[in-house]
Amino acid sequence: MREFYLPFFQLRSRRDIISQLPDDLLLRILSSLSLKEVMATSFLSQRWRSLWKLGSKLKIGDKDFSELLVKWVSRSLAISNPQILKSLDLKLIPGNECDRNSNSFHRFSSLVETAVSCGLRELRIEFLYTSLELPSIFYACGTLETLILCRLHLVDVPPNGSLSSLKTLRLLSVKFSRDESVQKLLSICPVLEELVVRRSGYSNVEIFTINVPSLTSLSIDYIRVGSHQPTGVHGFVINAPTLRYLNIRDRHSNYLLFTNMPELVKANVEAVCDQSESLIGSLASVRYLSLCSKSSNIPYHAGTSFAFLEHLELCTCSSEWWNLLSFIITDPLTLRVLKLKSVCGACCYFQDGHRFLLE
Amino acid sequence: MSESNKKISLISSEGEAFEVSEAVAREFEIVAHMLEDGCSGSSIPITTVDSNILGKVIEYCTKHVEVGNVEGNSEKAEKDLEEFDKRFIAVEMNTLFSLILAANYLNVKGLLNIGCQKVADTIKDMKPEEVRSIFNIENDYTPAEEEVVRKENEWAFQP
Repeated sequence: MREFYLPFFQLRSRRDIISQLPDDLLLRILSSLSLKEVMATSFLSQRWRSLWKLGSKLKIGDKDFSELLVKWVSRSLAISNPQILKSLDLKLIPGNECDRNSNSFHRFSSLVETAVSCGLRELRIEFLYTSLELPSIFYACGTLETLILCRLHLVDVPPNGSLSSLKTLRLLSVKFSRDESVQKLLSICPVLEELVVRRSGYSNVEIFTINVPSLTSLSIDYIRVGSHQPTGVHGFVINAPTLRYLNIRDRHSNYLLFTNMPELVKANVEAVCDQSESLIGSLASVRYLSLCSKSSNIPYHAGTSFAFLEHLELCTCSSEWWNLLSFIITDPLTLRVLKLKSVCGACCYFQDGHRFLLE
Repeated sequence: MSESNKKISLISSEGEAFEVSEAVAREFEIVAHMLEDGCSGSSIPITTVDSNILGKVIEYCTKHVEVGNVEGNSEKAEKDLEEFDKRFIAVEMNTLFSLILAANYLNVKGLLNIGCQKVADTIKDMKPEEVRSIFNIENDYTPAEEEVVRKENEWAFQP
């Protein structure tokens, strides 16, 4: 970044201050505007005419999404963007016509193809609960590092796809055709490190299987289901042996299965599932644990010890919380902070957790 | 605990000293770097920022450090902070740009973000003529050039 700033005494009223800002600040300002709004600024003066070409983010809202735009983007990127496109943000209201043969599908595919050929690093798509088929060239994108899918039905990934650089994946209220579709998507992400799953009544998956050997951070949000109260067996199976950070807020699953996570450092767990046996056992290596389990009937592996636990926050909403506490803290000498919370938000705070327990 | 109680003086372009805690001073990334590089002196000159703006930047950082230190109901604290940011950044244009430049120079990310967002919100939904008049931008296009730009980006000017 260029070290450049104006002497502040020059800032007097009735002067065009904004045009004197360095490019990186103007681009920062423009980065939160939609593409259409950014383009409109090229009309302001010579200073602004080519500014957008330096930017590497495209944010396209539904009202911008026309035939003309797609042509313009393709042409402009092809002619004048020697540098890479970092980020594409699409928020679309697809309407009724969004099958393979529709215009909006072609426009969409062509835009994504252009972006992929410009070295796309980050893609965010919000599609208002409509089915989305990404063009097959997308699944061969070797530059994409972050993919955020939001409120859409993802059509199954093609065979032979590989998102070889994808490190961060967020699935926010994404519907899949069937349970295997999730595994298929995850299986083409060989270096995935961070996964965020927000499940909702729309998601249409029974058992969400997360089998990712490279994963270091996992966040699950299964709080809202709307009127679609799930029935039958539904939950998560998680096999992430190198996980370091785990965050679960789950009020609906009745099935939770974890394999061992020997590298886990920090875990925030709020779950109602009775089958937490494997969960508690898998948390044994944590240093920081925040636990809220409303079920009073949690079976535990006898002999699981939390040898490294330094910080424990325990919710007292379960009537068995005292048992849970004495179960977790078999060797309280490592514990530095103990916090007891209840659903009403009140909490006791003990700076030297082990002293409290020893007394 | 003694470290966070340490006081540091930040000196404005007019030479006025502002005494702040080290935690607040560290919100200025540039100051944090200086401290980590072993600049042990307890007064740091901020020669490109005047007293008025430096005072405001310190007010912003102090509030954010205070809220960051409070344990407990984080949702409410976050909402309060949002409210504070909103009030804080509701200033006239010249001050807004001075704050953005200062935040950029001192590398105070949160302030830089809300400052740039505020300018973006002002530009949003406005016709080019209106944006020109708000920011005193002189239209230096010839009519012929103006037509070329309009052609280049015709989709953007459609209603």
